[in-house]
Amino acid sequence: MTTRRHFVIPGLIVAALSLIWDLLVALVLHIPPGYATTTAADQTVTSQVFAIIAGDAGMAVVVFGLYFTLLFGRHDRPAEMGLPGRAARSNVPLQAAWIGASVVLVMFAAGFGVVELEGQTAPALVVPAQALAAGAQKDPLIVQVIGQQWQFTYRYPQYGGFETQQLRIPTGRLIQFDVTSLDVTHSFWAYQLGIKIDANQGVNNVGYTYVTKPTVIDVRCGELCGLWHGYMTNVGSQAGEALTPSAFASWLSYAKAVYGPEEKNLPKFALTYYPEPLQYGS
Amino acid sequence: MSTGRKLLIVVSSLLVGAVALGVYVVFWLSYNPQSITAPTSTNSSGQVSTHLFLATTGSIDYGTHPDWVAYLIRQDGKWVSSTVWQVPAHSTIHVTIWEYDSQTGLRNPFISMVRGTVGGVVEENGKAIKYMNPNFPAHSFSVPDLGLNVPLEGITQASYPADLTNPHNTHVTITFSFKTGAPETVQWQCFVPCAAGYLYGNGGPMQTIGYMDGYLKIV
Repeated sequence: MTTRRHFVIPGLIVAALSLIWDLLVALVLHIPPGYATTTAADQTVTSQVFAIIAGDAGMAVVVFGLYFTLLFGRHDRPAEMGLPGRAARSNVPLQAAWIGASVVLVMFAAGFGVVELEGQTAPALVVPAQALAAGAQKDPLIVQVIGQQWQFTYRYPQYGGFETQQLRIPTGRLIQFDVTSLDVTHSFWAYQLGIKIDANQGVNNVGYTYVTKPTVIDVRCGELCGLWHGYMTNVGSQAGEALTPSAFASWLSYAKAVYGPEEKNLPKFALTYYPEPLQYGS
Repeated sequence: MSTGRKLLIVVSSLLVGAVALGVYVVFWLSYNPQSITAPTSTNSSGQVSTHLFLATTGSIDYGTHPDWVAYLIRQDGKWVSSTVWQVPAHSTIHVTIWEYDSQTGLRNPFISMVRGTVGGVVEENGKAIKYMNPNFPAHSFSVPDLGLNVPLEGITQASYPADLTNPHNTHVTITFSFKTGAPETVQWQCFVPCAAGYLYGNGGPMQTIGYMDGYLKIV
């Protein structure tokens, strides 16, 4: 009875703390990247599951550790408790429970992780299932993302090939990102979309997204690329956005009026651009 | 080796690491580069104007990297090597740049368009321009967070055939104005791959504050 009490008390404490933590993770805390796309939502759910498991397991270790340390580690502990650790070393059920719980946790993490990883090939490789279901794969909007030290610019080849500093995409349409770089390796990280695609010079990396609701899109560089890497963002006034189709059409008209005249200076659209000029410096 | 000795080495190493980390964090938190405050003047109607008088040169001829390309700022009648400048918030900043360097050309021709200036134009030797041939810039003055981009045309023999030894003939004068918003510190940079001898023209002075990059402190 006494032994059982020493498991029930910390067990109840762990259960109470875990419940609070689980509710915080599931309902209150922002677990990245959010729910703007099905890809992002998948990642968020995965992160929530692992945050809950890690939090609960960590809580159990800390609470049981503190409880037993404070109770059995005292110099004036009752003599019937015996020497510290002796009871645990000879307690087969306790050891079996410890090993069993660890195995279950590890196997669940491995199995869940593998299944989720297989199901989350959408970010950079395949068309999201939601877009396929909507038949959106027939008419993707191609947006070329060009990384350079230190900003991202975007070209819209289906609309004359103009280039902008702001990312604008429509909702309800499959978006195909063609990502390249003019210099070093960057990484196009569209936070809310849950995608991160490397931008390499001379290489065209393709990724897809499908957004159902208007949202702000923060774009960051995910690859350390030099002095101003930390400033290589599109946030605030430069933020990207997913717009309703009508708002996107309005923005296209505006952008073509502003940036269209510059098209004559731009190179013909290509999947990659070898950097020009070939001689640098004066 | 005794256990006590091992323990001493481990604890000492941890202490040294912790102190080094602490020093780095304190340095990082307190990093506040010296800035040069752009001079202001007030006209008869009380309007305050701020003026940034800058120059770009192919080699700074000063300091640890005298052959590096650099920006300079005019202060009290002298050219000063600094790229951290302070300007007032919610103001119009009038900029004059004397561009002394030769043409390099842009890697991304998109930068050849003037953006973010008052009126959407700059004056180059008194002539208003909105676009530039992407092969002509020697440098650019760009503040991405403010949406500001100004390509700076490089000098050529063809442009100034009269006498290249005359300093008054060997620079292009660019003037423009831009507006600042709320107080913040933003980075500015040159987008032309002008760092001769470095990877993609973007190393050395392009990666070092004090040459072709800096901060604009809006206060």
